Amino acid sequence: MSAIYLETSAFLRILFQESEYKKVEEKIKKSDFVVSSRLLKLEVERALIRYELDHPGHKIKVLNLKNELKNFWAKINFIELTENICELAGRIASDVRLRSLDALHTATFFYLKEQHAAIEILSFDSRIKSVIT
Amino acid sequence: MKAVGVKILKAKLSEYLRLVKNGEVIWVTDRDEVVAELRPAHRQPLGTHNFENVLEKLADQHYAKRASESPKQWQGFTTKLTLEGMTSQEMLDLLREDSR
Repeated sequence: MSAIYLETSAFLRILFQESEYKKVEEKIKKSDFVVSSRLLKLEVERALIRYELDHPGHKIKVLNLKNELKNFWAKINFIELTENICELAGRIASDVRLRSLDALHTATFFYLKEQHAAIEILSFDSRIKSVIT
Repeated sequence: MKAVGVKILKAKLSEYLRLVKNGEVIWVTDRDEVVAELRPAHRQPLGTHNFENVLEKLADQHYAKRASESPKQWQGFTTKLTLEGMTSQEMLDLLREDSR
């Protein structure tokens, strides 16, 4: 039973078709479970708002993508930003300059890994990867 | 069923735990009275839970929202966006650092 944690940096590779996005797509399609923090949806929504502001001529494209995203979100198991997750995020990796949002993703992944050791993370964020490995 | 006194149990705890691990149930006695029972734990070690159950439990507690579709059905996005002048990681860094 394969499960992956989809962190925002990996998902943005797909949205903007950057290097290794095909690999991320394949990982998602081969997984039994794709899990992420509620933060993923928020960060993607903010990224699209920023993209639209920077590329005002692409409003229709962004609208189309938002519609496609509605179907995609139905395939994701979202972990909420609970008190437990926030507390864990506040105390992990005390020797690393982890930003709050990095810490929330990392804490959510650790929380899941404690309950399912085989879960893998898909991330290209060097700060998060340095804590995970 | 085996029985063992508290003193012997303390002295040979590892040995008795090995027996319990193999399915044995042990009575613990104190002055010839049975005061406790050692039996194998319900075996569901950390990390080997059925992930489906884990997610279901989290959803029951409102700690998670379950997916309604399998990711295996996903065909990818047909709409293509490309970033100009920055990478997606740079964009994410800006969003996470709350830059304007």
